[in-house]
Amino acid sequence: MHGRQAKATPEPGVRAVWEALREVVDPEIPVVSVVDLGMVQEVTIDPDEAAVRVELLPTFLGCPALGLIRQAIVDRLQQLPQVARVDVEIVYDPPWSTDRISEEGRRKLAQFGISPPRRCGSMPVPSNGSSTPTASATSTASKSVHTSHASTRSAASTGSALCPFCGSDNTRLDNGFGPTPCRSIWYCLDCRNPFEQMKSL
Amino acid sequence: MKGQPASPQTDRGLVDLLYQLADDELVIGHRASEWTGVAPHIEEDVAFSSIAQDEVSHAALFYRLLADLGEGGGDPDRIAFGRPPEAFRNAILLEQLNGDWADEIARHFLYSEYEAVLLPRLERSPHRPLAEAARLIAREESYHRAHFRRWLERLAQAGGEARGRIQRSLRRAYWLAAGLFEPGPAEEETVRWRGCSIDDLRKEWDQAVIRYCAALDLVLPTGSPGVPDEVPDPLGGRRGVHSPAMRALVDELTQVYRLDPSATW
Repeated sequence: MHGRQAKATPEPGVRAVWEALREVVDPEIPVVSVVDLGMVQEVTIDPDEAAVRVELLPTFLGCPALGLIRQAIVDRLQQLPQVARVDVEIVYDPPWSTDRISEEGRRKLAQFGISPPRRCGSMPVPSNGSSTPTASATSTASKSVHTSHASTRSAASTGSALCPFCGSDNTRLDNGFGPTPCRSIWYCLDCRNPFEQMKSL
Repeated sequence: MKGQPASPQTDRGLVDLLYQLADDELVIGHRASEWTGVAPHIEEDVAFSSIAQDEVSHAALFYRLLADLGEGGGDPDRIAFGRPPEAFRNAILLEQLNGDWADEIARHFLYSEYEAVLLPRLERSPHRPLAEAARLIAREESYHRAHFRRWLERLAQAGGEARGRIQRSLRRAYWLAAGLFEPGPAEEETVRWRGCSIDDLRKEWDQAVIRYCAALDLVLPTGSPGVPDEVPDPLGGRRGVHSPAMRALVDELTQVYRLDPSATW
């Protein structure tokens, strides 16, 4: 996702900024950085002004950490030599997605006890698990509901989550909502632990 | 498209649409927050707190778009908290006092289905910031819709009192939900920013909710006579006419802001 920077002429300054950004962590999940999360869209440097501009993609819109993260980026980058000004701009295009989280980020989430999000992929029509009535529904219900909403895009299809403790997929969604906007609560039927999953977006 | 489209800053149709969107989200978000601590079980306390947080953040984004068009002197807080009740454009369904659990599930179900038909239209709005916002919000709302569909099924399939209550609540909420589809004062101009007429949206929504409810053997009072007296006609929210519950809601919502409107947070 950071192709634009990778392809640009490797300015030592840009590299140093990216390294510094790897130290700015999510205050609610302090094992992952804003780079791991894929929140940084672009870094540009104006050498004449010694100004750094960072384009930051917000994750969940209700995430109260955004302001803190923004400030932490400014604070960290201002420690770099020859940086006079830091501008962090919040941009909504492209939309942030959990698919932007790096492999390393996913690994760190799992180690922290949060099951990484399912991949949304680039499928135009993700599976519509959310619109399927529960197992107790009548077959009529399930058929009708399926056809009426099959084309509706939905990030909320539940699927199943891998238990971050024992790796089992024999798990059950207990609550689509959790302690932060980005997490849901699950229960592992094998190791009998409750755990959280980062929701796919 | 006829003639030269007005620029976003001067187009009442766009501004009006954004007020409807923002006020709907703020008001339902506030009502959702009132469930914290009193929901039927602790997982729902968590869910409603999270849903409230989502809705209010969506409102904040829409208020930001309004501020960028020069509304409220460019200050989103002033738009959200500096207006009297009659300046709000939310549908009155959303401002109703919280009733019992079935009332809440019915209201949220109908509203999340409304968003599910509206947001894909907005994703193609010619006002690009609105299109980008809609794209982000739609993904989050899909979690709300899934939640309320599950609850609707659960109550409908439980039979007995639960089923009777959700049927009753759904009937009443459905009448009030008609207010989501009343035209605002600039509807003629709003159409192009929304991407469809309000009547087409209503048809799409009706089709979705009727079908979903029918699959659960829940009956909606479509086209049937006997709208209860308590349901005003027109419902009015889109033109700033609200039910008595709205004044208290706005009073509470704006209480802190009014202490010192110039304070920075």
